[in-house]
Amino acid sequence: MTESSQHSCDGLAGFYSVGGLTKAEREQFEQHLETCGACVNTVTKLLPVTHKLLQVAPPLELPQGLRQRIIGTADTVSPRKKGKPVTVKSVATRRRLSAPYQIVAIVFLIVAGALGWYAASQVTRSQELRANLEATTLQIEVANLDAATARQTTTEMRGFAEILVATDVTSIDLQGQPDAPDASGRVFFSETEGILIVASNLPPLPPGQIYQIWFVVPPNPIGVGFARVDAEGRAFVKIEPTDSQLPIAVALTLETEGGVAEPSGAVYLLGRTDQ
Amino acid sequence: MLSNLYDRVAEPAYSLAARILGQSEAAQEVVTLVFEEIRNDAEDAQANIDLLGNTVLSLVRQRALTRRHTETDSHVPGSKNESHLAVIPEPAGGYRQPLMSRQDQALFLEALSQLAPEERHAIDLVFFEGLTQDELKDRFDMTSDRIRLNVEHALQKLQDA
Repeated sequence: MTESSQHSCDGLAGFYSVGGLTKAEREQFEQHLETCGACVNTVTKLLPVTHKLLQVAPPLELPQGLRQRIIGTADTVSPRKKGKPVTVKSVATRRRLSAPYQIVAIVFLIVAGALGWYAASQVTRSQELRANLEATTLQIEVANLDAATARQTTTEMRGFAEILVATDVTSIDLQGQPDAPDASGRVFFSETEGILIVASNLPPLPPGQIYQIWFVVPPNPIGVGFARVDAEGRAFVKIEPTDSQLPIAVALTLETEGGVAEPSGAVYLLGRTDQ
Repeated sequence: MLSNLYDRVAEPAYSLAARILGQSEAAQEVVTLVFEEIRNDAEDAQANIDLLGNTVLSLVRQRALTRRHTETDSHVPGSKNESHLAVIPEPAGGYRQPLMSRQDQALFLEALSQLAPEERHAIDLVFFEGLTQDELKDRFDMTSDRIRLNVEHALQKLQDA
């Protein structure tokens, strides 16, 4: 994606959704989708319109004999084929293998959620994240956390500190997304002490909504907790250690109070761990 | 299951193919080939008919446009090839939204009819004829940006239909 198109992608998402881009344009736009949540949202909203368009060609009466040609041949399928177990999941999988358009970058977004999609595509990001795990950065984060948690209870502070000083701590940077470009955060993982999520510059929560935290553990994102922000847009959330594997990505979405089973709201923070 | 799927989606699939190809025989061939392609999946009693129906329609559009462009290529050497074809992105596991009822189709057609003529025309050319941005630019004497925005705007109008 060229520099100019990065900043003037209006209309490309719609054109992509309706199947209007050539192969080269499509591949270029899919690269852009990897980093543009706004375009991802647009494509997600417009795809149902495209599928409706498929169903509204001027209706024609079916030709005589077509049913026989199709169903009749189906009746001759061998018993072995008929007996072969086929799951709904395998339908799409096998078809994807034969259909060239199955490579689209949005695949993980709609079914597995935006988080899985991002995680699968942001390989380059992982290298940056590795660099950000340097000790000096961690120390700065600890210092920021110390100051910000001054108002927290002693117990909370101790819990946070235990994670931060744990010998096995690792972290993931969280980047602000288009709905919160100034937001940032970091997730600290310790198998022994737990998980701490720190965020800043998050927008105030609208009434009836809450930030929900998601860990992407393939194939689906898992809701692991909620975050509220203080008056300065900061959030601190501790999550107890789990037996599940480390996520390949972490995200914060805005959801209805009480949470949802799958991410449905806008992504505000997103980060990816090393493979 | 295949017969259920046929009863559910053959008519819109054939109509779509005929709209793209303009010939009944060619449209029948495309629909037959697509049903052949998904036959094994459709034989599964547990298969999701909406998923398969959406799959059939997507494949019919793609195959019909491929055929349309291939036939065009035979007359205009080098003008188009399969890489030219724009396909509809699809989520992992296929598109599972329920197929539209007759009533939903009528409402959607009503919404389509309320689009500005140039918006409707642009969608027709992109969706049913597979024209690219450059080809549309020539047709409408507009910039690519403007054409894309018109199409996206039209799609957004149809979102709630």
